[in-house]
Amino acid sequence: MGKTLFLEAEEEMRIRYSELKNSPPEFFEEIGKKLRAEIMPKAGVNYKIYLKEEPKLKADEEEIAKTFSLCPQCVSLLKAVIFKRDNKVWIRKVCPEHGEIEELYWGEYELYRKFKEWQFDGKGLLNSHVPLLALCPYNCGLCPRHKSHPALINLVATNRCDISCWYCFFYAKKAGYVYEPTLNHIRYMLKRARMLRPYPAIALQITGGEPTLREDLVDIVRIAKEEGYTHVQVNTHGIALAFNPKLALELREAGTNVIYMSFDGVTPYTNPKNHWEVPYALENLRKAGLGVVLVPTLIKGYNDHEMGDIIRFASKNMDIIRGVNIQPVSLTGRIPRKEREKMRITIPEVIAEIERQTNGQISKHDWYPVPSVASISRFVEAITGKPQLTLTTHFACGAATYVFKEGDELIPITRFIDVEGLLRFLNEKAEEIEKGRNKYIVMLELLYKLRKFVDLSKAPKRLRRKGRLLKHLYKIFIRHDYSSLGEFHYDSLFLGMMHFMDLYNYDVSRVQRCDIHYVMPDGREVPFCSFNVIPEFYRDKVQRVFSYTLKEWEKLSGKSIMQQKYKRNIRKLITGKPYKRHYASIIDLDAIPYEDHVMASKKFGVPVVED
Amino acid sequence: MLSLTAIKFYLRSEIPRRIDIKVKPCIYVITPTEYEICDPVSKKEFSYDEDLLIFDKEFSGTLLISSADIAQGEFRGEIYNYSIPDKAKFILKVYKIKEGIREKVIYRVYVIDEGSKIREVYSERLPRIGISNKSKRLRNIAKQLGLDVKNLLRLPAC
Repeated sequence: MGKTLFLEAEEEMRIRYSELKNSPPEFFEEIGKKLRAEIMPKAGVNYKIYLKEEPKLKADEEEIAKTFSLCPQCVSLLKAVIFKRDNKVWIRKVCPEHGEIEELYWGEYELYRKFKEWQFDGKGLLNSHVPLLALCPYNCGLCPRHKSHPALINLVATNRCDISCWYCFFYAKKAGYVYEPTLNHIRYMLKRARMLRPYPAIALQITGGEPTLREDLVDIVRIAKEEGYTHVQVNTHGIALAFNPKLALELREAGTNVIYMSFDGVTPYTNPKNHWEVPYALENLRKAGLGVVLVPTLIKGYNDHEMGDIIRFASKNMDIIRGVNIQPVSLTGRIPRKEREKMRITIPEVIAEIERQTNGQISKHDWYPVPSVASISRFVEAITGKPQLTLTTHFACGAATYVFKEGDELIPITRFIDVEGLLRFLNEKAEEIEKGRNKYIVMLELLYKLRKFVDLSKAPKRLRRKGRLLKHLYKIFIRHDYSSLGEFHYDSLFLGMMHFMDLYNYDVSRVQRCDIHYVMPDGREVPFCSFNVIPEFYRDKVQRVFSYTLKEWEKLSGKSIMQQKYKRNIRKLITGKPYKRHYASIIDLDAIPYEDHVMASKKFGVPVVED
Repeated sequence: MLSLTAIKFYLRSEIPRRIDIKVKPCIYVITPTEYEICDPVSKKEFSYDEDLLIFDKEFSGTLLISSADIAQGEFRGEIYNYSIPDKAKFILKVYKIKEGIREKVIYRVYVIDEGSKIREVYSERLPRIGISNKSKRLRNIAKQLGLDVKNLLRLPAC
């Protein structure tokens, strides 16, 4: 790697990425090795450690735990206290330079208490990719402190985007450079994540920017499959899929398992990003046989009132929609407390809204934290003796449930399976096997007791017939035959939520347990909430090093960044059959004047064109 | 003379997971003929300003406990410093662990490179060693490092 590879006039380190166009994957390992130490944040230069200041509690507050957090202004490491007040959970920290910061951590203490009982820590990593040089979260890569192996790896395929959402600071035009790793570079990054032990990455999300802007997106999916990723999903706004049925088909044929599609609401007011295109994207995905997970980002007072409608929309399209994964907003940038309070919504509040908006069909008792399912992995690992994919995030990070559709009714899985009892039983049995009990005797016991955890009278009719439900459970837990999972999931909808952190509610103990990671161009893997919450140390810093200047990219591609911007023909979209068919039973289409459609799109930042 | 650090600590926390652990180090100096206990030459209270990274290096890969965990609950720690005599060929660091009512040990072995540098050559990881017995692990260490297994199995108590 010669010196000429670097742009010397730049204030920050930057590679002449255009010269690496034909470099093999091994070459990126060489570069990564040389640059990693240089790119890592430096104590005293990029951040400070302030651990002397203990945040104090007030009279009406009760301490729950202590942790480390960050200052939203200077990203210094601070001591923080997590406490209860008014049946809610809060976090408080004091920065000697920027004062006290208090933020809502979880909207309901009772649910926090229930969820914490399900914490299950991972076994960490046997081969981390960076040495221990700094405290968490300034040492990400993943470091030996990290407690969870990856459940989902994110690959940023490009930072280009064809829409300019007002809240996004990530896309190329605003960043001032194009980050778009070559296929060989991508192969290198994916290989690195596959090297992690005891459990290598097997699930990949291709994200952006907008990944469908890459003409070689299908090749990226193929590379992922070649490298051993069994699950590949593409995170998109779906606009390209709405207009290009061939893309949906090609993605499926290349091995894409699911499309992860942004969907913030059912009206143009709440979802100006892709309200008009989603029905057409669903139509094309349906024809291609490629499933979708809808991903609403939820902001209090903006779209939280549409949770029920989003779930109803998904349940009406369950032939193609596999799930809804809600993301309560992560507040980026410096926002005054009053403004934050207006927008902040946390997992318990989303759960309460869903209960209210589904008339109790999905109640708060139907939700469990992500690590609750670790009992299943632990049991299978004990039986088979092989490491299993285990979801071991912090209990406060996410929640999930399954609902089954029967007519217009949604039946959560918890209504006919004693999920809590079954998971606790599996955990107990795993422990017995780990302590030396004969696994065949344990399996016989499970076989005998399995029906105790099922109330067939409350199960959907389809699962009641010919003892199907018990047969499925028998296949999964006794024979470890997961082929029946597909049939079990038929007519079911996964409902999940993942609350990514921000600098206000940052909790280092959560980031250490994160199992959603990003592969980095220098060969590291970085937890989601380090990558996106401290972009100046991770996402932006490293992508900039491995980027093209806008001019370089335009010269290489023969395209203009600005000309790629999407312009929406609303009149055409709202008169199409797919649009009417998908929304007709969810919203009153005639009640939204054309002018409102146009205003919503323009206000959001997407220009509107007429025929 | 070379020096080595070890940490004695007590940690009890409830969130995010229940931890109730007491950890005490014991250092043995191994020469070609002897296995003897090495006492600390100095002790100091654990300091959040100076010792968090040392703690992480010592325990994040072995006990899967790191500085973020110690921030969460009741923690008391002491840093022990040891002077390693010139005659030492290997150093065996034993951490005696009490988790609730369960007691375990983990072993770490260091080699003295040309009498000037201490290099770790063996380290155990608590979740991996599980319930496997101590003598089996000590035999394995002896085999890997070419040590006298009888001496290793007859370590003086400390």
